[in-house]
Amino acid sequence: MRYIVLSLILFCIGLFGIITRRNAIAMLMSIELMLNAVNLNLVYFSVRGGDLTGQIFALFVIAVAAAEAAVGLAIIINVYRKFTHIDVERMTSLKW
Amino acid sequence: MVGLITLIPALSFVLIILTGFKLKDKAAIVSICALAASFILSLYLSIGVFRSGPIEINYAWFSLSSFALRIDLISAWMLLLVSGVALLIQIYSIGYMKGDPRFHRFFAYMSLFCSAMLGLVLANNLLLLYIFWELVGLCSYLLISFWFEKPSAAAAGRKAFIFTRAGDIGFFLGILLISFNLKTFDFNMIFSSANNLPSVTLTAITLLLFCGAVGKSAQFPLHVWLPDAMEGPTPVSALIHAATMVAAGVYMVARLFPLFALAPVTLMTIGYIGIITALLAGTIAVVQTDIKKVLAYSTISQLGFMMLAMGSRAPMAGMFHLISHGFFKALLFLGAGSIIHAVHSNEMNDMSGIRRAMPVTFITFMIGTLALSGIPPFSGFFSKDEVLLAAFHNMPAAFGLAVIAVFLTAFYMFRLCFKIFPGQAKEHGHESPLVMTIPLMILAVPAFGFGFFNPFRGAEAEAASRIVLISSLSAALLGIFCAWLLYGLKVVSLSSAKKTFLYRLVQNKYYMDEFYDRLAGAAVLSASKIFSLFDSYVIDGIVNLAGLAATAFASLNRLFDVYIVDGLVNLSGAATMFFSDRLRKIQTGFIQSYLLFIVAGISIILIIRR
Amino acid sequence: MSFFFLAGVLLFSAVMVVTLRDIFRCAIFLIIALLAMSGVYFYLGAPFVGVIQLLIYVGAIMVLVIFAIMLTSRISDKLKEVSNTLVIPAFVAAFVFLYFMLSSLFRTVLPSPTPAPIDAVAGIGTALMTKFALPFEVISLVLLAALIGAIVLVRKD
Repeated sequence: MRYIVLSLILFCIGLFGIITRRNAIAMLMSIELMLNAVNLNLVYFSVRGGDLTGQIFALFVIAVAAAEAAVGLAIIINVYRKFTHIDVERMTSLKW
Repeated sequence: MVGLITLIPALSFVLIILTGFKLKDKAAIVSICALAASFILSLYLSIGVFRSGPIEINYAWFSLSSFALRIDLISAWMLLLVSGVALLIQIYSIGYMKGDPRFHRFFAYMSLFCSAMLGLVLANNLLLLYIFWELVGLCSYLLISFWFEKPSAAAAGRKAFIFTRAGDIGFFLGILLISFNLKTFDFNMIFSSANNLPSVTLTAITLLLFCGAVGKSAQFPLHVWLPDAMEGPTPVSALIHAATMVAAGVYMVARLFPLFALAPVTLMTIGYIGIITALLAGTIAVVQTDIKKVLAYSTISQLGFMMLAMGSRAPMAGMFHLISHGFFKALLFLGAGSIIHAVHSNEMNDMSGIRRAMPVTFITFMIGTLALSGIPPFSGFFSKDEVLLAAFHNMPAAFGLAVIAVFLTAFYMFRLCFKIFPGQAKEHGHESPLVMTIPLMILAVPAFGFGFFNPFRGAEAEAASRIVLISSLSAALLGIFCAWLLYGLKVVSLSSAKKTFLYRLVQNKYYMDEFYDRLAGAAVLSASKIFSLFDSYVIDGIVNLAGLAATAFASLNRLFDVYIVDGLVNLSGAATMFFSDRLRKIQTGFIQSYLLFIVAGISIILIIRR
Repeated sequence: MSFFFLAGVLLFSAVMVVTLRDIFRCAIFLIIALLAMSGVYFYLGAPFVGVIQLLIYVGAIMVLVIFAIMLTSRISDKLKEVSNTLVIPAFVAAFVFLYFMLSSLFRTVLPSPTPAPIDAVAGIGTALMTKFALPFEVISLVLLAALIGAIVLVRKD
């Protein structure tokens, strides 16, 4: 079944988004998309192969995604407080 | 015991050297006692040898040669001559050298000389002989230049050493040749195995050995040092340059005669050199005005006689003449010393009326003169007769010349006598002290009587010949007569003769000294020219080349350094700048571009891994 | 049939998420995408994961995201450009990536499926307590760390 194709396309959309978007929160949302694509892959193979390990792994991924989203958003709020914007294109202090 | 003969005077030398300045005048006693001991020992051993044949001793020394000593007929008589005459001369020297600031040194050197000469006489192998030969030469040098404050004395010592050394080079080469061919230095072994060698080798060896004798015994052409050696004190002249050291060359030929007998060419050479020397020296002696020089040339002439005897295959005749000459020549020199001591001058023109002023000296001197001139019954007549006999039978051409030499000998000796003895005595003429006249009297005895018993008569006795007898006697008497005419009665004035070329030639000793000067000078100059050329072209060339090479290498290094090394450094700097300039643009600080690179990298991996 | 419907919604929403200017609308489309995703899970036969997805992803994470959006956006932000200068390269890169992945995918032969009629929920629960007990505990630690971290980071002091 071409769930794999679906997951691939979803992943690439997320990839495009993460590279393209200026807003930091939009980047985060693109990350979520990518994670979901991965989850789909995992679950598909778990169902197909009869082994529950894939689904359990997907659960863990979801848990970690939640944790990461929380911390990431906390950081973004901090950045907003400092710079009053969250435009990643303007955050280039590490430039040469 | 044999070795003690040599050893005791050597110890005396060491003792005097170490303590002389404390002993001062008593040093003479040490030396004389040592020498007397040697004399007594020699006498004792010699009597034993005369009775029962030769004695030989061998002390082991080192592997090449041993300390081999031998007393036989000729060495026994040499021992007696050397120790006896030296003893008398040392007693004489107590008076002659009185007051000299280096008195004790004189006796030290005398002791050393006696030790070395006695060792030379005793030696039974070549190495030992050569060692003592050189030692004797050293003592000669020390004693000739004893009064070295005088530059002429120092120069004379050097001259003696150099000329005898020149002869010694040949001698040493001869020794090397013998040891190379026969593998031994020992005389007995050499004599037994020498006839196996080819005659060319034998001739070469013997000629080389004879070179040593030419130097030491003042034969032509190395005779020029002996007259100059008269700069030394008169006892030195008496001992070394009349009786003993110069006889060493003759003795060496006699000792090694079994070897020389195998090389007839060498013997011929020896004979002719001998007679040439005798004539040459005789002619020069005729025009000398220094009393010691007359005696010196006379010594050279008599040594030539002895070599003539050797060349005529009569070594025993030569030895006989050597011993008897030793006695009367020492006598003559001591007498001359006595006269010089009284008159304070060597020149015959300053001396007159000695007969009245110094009678003892006069009588002993006359005895010596008669002996030297070959008048019977004095010893010189008998010994000269033996030599002339041998020459007559074996080298007739030389015999004729020898008769002329006899004439000359008598002539110049009586010229001397007629010049100094008659006439008015000078004011300060007085007889010498006893310590000087007693040796004169003692020496006069053998000078008179030694000829009556010829210990060397034996194997080579030639048939007595009337011709020889008559010719030698008439030559001698003719010589005396002419001298009496010219110098006694003063029949003819000699001033015009003094202006001739012949006179000037002879007076300048045939210009031999000038010849040697030129030779040495030319040799040194050409050698130094060669060396300077070598220095400037070869050595400077090498140095300059090294310098050029260094600078070339340095410039090469500089090129390398500037272009390559600096180039590399600059290149690395420029490359770093270039790349860093480009590569830093990657650091955009823009996180999404980083992500893009990640994706691009993964894609590339995917493409490659496909 | 329902698969294609769900897939279509999912993909459409995803595209909207990455292209819309207004971030609030992006968030809404993300919610729709996640809901569609959950539907796919159910359709696939993994109900537990689908429910968890709904509970946590849609229920918790998106609420958090919306909170953050509210806290960090300003009215004037609407006028800005949505994407940066890297659009074209990003598109190319993503496309290339997709292309090559798909081509490798179509080349591979998947092993035959082995369907296992299991009680998913019970099975997951058992596995979590036995085989995956350690990761389970570690996850709880991770969540604890995130919790504390987020609080510490956002504190105003």
